[in-house]
Amino acid sequence: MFKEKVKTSIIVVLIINLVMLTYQSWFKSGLLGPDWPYFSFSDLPLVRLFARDSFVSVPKENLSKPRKIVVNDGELWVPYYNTDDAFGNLDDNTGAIIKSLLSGNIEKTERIDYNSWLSLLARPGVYVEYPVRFEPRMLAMVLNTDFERLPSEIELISDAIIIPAFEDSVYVALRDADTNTSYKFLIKDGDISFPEEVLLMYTNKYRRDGYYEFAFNTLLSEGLGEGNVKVSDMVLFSDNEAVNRDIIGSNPIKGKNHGEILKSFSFNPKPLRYYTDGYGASNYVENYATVTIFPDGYIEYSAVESDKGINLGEYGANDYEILNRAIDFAEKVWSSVSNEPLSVLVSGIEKTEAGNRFVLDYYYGGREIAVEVAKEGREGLYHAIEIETSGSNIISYRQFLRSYTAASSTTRQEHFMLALDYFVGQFAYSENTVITDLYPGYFDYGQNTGVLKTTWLCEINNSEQRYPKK
Amino acid sequence: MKKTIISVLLVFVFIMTASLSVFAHPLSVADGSQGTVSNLITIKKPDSAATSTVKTTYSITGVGNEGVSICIYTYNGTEFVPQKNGDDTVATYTIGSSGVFYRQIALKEGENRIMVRAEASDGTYQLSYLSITVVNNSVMTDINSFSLNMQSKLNGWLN
Repeated sequence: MFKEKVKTSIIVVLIINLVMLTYQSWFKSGLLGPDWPYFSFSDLPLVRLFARDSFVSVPKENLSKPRKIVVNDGELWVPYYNTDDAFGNLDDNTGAIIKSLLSGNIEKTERIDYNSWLSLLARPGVYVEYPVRFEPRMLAMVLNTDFERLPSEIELISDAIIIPAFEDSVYVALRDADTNTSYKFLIKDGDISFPEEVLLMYTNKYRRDGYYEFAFNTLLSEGLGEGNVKVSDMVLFSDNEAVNRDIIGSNPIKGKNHGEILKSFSFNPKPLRYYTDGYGASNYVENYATVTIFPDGYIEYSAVESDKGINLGEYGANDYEILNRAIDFAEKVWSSVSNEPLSVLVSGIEKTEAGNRFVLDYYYGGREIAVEVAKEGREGLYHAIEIETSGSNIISYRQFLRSYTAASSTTRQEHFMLALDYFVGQFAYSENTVITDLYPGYFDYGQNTGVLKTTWLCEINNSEQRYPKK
Repeated sequence: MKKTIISVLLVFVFIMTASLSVFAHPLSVADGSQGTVSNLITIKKPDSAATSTVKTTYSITGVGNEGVSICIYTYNGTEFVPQKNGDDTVATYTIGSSGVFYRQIALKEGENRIMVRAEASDGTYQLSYLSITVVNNSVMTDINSFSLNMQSKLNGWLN
């Protein structure tokens, strides 16, 4: 009897052990994760169908949202980002003021110089920075409001300062992103209320971490090091050494066939011929376009002629409509390889000779994931997605396909000054270098999938490329 | 042979002692002490030795040569004591290739006497005295207590 009980106990322990080990190897070891090429629950057609319907478009939803809103109570600054709890309310209220300006509720207009712009920035108020440089008319479309005239010297808007004035009026300052030509407007609108106490509320009560300070206020924005490198007045200094979640990048086309991607580019995968080049890339050719798919997740579409690309709809659509359709197309390509929403934000809109160039970047937890895919056999790509249009056609589409998930590890962010020292050292021998932004984010070199830790990303001379602190 | 060993040992001891003496900011400095030099750093902010603010956080910035070590001291009523890290070690910062330093400090209401001590690798040091006064801000008190008057004023902006 006793022997039987011992046997039963051993069998029960073995069964529990078996279940636990199976769980470990299936769900914890990544066997069924995104890198497992042979089977995934999320690849089942029914799961894909339901999953896709429940998504909202991340890039479209966020197009009207500022990259950051910085609140100044007159002494120090506190930035708010999209992932902060208080961001939505702040965005609604400041967005209403910008809408009021664009729709023409202007009482007084005054041209101001750059020093006046900086002194407005030092006054209690709110600084709004958009992720892209918008033409005023396009910004009005993005914010879903009518557009009245603005001074013609304001051709591209990337930021604004809002300052409380009187009971039903506020000051808004805009500057042209290229020329720095600035204007101050007095906006009078019965629907607007912007008491100065709001600022103290946001710099004290809702503040999540420490204080920040624009470089111009630190009195340090002159030549640094040997004097060759300058830091822009608009760079935010801080003492914060936040702890950030690491992330894991994975290649969603690893081990998959290319049929679905090709269909998203309107290529018929069945009779299609392809060849593999010396870089291991699969090159698919149709009459007027080519699609090249590299094993590391870099894909490239190129139309032979500007009027033979991927049609985005009827001719004569405005730039805002073209942008929305280009986003739809990017989401279509993405859904051919992943069931997750495409977590990118539009970070650049540029007029070209033929039409437009749109760039989009990956984001995770509110932080940018800068990408650098510069290898032999392809043109360097410094964004998640780059789309070029001509009229209503996409003539070039390039993407570095990556999906990102949270890792279990975290990394303490280095002090801002260590990053500044590093980049000043890096660019010490370059002529006329201005550090125009320095902020924490992730950097994906595009070499391997694996864990990415937060680092400092540096932008110089307002260019698109980001440099990571190594 | 014996002399060689003794010489090597002496050199070793000298190197160790020298390296230990580099950037050893003292654990207290008497009020009114003077530095050995006055050209190691230039404090940019605050731009005068006495200033006032309504906030209890303030940033001190300055420029100096690469390699100069900075330590910020606060006055405790009898002497200046250095700011500490979380692990109770003295908080120091070495100026890097940017040639600038930036540190935020916590202040208490009223006058705060601050001293910035900069020390070069040759042991020379500079002492810079600052007085930063935090003035009482009644609006801030209302904000923090979230008074009814304040709530009605901020209607629409509350999270």
